[in-house]
Amino acid sequence: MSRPWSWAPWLLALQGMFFGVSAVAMDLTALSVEELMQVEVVSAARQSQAWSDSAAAVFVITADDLRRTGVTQVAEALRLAPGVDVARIDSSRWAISIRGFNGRFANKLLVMIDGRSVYTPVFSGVYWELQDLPINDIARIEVIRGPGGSLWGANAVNGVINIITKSASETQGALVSVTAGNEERAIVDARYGGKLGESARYRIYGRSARREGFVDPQGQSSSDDWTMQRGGFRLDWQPSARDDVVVLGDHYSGDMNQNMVVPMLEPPYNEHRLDPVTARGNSLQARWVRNYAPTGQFSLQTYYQNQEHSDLQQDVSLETFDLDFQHSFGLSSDQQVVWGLNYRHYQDHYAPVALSMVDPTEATTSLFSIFGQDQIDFAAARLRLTLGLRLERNDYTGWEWQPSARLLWMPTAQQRLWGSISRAVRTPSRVEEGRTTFFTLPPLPAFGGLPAVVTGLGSNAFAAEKLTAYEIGYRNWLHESLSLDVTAFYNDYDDLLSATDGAPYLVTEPAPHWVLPRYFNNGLNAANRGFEMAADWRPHPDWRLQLAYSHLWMSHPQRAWAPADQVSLLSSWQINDTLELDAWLRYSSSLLVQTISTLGTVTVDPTWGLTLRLGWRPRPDLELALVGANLLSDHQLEFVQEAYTYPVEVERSLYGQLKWSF
Amino acid sequence: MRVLAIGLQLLALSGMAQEYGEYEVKAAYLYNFARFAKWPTSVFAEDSSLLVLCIVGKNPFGDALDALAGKAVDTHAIRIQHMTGLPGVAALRGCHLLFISRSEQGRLPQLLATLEGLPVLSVSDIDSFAQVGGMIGLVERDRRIHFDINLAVVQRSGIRLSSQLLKLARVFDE
Repeated sequence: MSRPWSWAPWLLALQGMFFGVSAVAMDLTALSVEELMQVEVVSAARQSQAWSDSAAAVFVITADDLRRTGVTQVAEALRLAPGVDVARIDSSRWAISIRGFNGRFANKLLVMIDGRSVYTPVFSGVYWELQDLPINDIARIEVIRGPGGSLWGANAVNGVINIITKSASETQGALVSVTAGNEERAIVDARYGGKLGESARYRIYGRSARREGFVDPQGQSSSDDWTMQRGGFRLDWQPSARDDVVVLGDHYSGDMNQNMVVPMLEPPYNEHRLDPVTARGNSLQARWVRNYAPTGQFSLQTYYQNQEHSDLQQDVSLETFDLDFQHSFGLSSDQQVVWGLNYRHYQDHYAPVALSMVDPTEATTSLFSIFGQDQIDFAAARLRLTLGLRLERNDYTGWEWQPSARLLWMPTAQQRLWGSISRAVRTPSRVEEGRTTFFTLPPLPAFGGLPAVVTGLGSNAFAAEKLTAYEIGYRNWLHESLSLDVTAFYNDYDDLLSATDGAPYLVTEPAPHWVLPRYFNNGLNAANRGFEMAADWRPHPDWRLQLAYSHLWMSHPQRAWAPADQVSLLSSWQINDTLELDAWLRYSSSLLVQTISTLGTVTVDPTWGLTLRLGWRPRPDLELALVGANLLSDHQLEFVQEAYTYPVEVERSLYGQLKWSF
Repeated sequence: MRVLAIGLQLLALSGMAQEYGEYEVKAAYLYNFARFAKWPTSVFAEDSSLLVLCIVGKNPFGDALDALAGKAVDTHAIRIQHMTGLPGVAALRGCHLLFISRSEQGRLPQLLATLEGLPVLSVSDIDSFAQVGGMIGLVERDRRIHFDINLAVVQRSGIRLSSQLLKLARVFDE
């Protein structure tokens, strides 16, 4: 009974600091003609974008991709990116990770929306169901595989996902979008963008989504329907030619029904329950960027957010305050430096619930970090070395350091070869220290016929989980119509979460039972390696194919819970000026999930997914689409939650979409 | 409005020392040409009329033009219009600025003939565009984008270009 404990729903990470606000990009239209004439360009053959020169494994999901895949939620769109493992647990829960260690409570992936972290220390992960942004307002989703700790801070271990919304100037006028179908029951988006004087634009938006539940493996309804309401605004203000200000705010409110198998001390020792989950939250964010010189920029960002989440596992309210400063400048013509400071403050309150308790119930914690990065060009700008380091202090493990070294070689205009070594940490949180979680085992002869309550116990000796990652990548714009991106990696993990058993003891209240204490520690080392490939081919100006393939070798597949092979192929065909036909095929090989439930280790069979979309734009201001998702099966299992497990299968979904702008 | 950089740019710091995509820069030029051009007053029905930027041929800009779609020149919001086939006079009259893609090189003589005298500012990166009768040709020199202006053609169209623009261009007078 002393094998490593295989999951960590109660383990939270103290939120990663993140640095989403970069100091350096520039909208070229802000430049004068004289300045434009000084800008160096790269050939169109390699569809130049800032990320194409990054010495990291990067994939960008564009607004057009979001439209062509017909997705109604951010989480589903991530299936396009190589190396990202997206699995739907039920109608409102997802397991999403990069390069393994997936789970409902996947804790090694940092996610940010416009530079605001939505990685929550409530459970060290992301509530994907709450990130139900209006798809039409998203400019792009940047997926960075591999450690981002030196830039974005703790918990960017396996990767970072940046969701970037459109600026207010890109969303002027009114837009109404309606989606309705058998699973996507009714999703209504409305937004309006306008001007405030000469230098400011804004938009306001609202979204209401009602989604149907799925079915259990026998095909019976699992009643896990849910609703999300969201509203917000964005203001983009340019008070002067060198200043940019953005103010963002939002509110959401969600009501989910989630199936749980809850332990009990009496026969039958567990009980299936439909858990009514409520989640509410608000955020307010402001960012000011000053471009004080062609290569010099300051940015200052602050945000406040609060969230309340109540379910059988947690009843928590959390407030976050974050303050972030960054400065970037050209040290010489060959060197670009960026450095910054970040402070974050958390205040939480946990109410006791049936399945866990947190001691003490209230706490205030803070994070402080400083980072720097130097990007040096040499060998006639054919080689670029980027060195970065972040030092971060948290209240649990003290100072953590996260360095990275990246080298990029640009042998020709069409080719990039890069390699990197980086280190990232997942920091523990208060709940890892002070949370007690309960599970029951039915009576066994070894327990003298009494039930046993497995009790997970946090410990203040818990250290950060660490990753050292070695990556190498190659990009080639073989032709104007064909590009290829390949990455291989070796991830060496140390001090991963595990647990050891303490001595069982007998308790007589409220009914006689054994308590089997399990103490968390850092007892597991693991290694994952693999490769990822993305190809983008336009065989014809009206036809585009995007292929992503990834393969993963896991030293502990029973711990990493990820498929070895994944494929995504998106075909986007512009039939004529008004018609589009898109097909999206996906494959995921089988995977294991080691559950804390009577189901033990669950094997999820390989899954195939097919989405077809027919889009029609009869007028420039009107778009209609018919979408069928998960067309290849009536229902199939993609994943199971790692604890209190109740399998739910994803159903075929058919829906229509209407988008009208005026 | 300038894009506030978040996310990936940190991985590939792209200050001014950094290179940009050819068509990102060309899109920015289009915006500047619109700012420094004065169309005959008859072209805009009212202050709130749109300034229509047409592209004929294969769109090489990717999403670089999307950034322009939300912008305005004076009181005129910019609208992007993609044209297919060989547009006629009526269709071209709906454009203020026309970008002719390299894919249209073969049809350039017909296009320029159709455009003659219309108040449409024609821009292209086809070789020798300004020399062969286009208005503004974008040319790459030393990894930077410069531009040629055929002043005679511009003047016949009734469009006036600011002297600031002219002094930065290589000017041809047919």
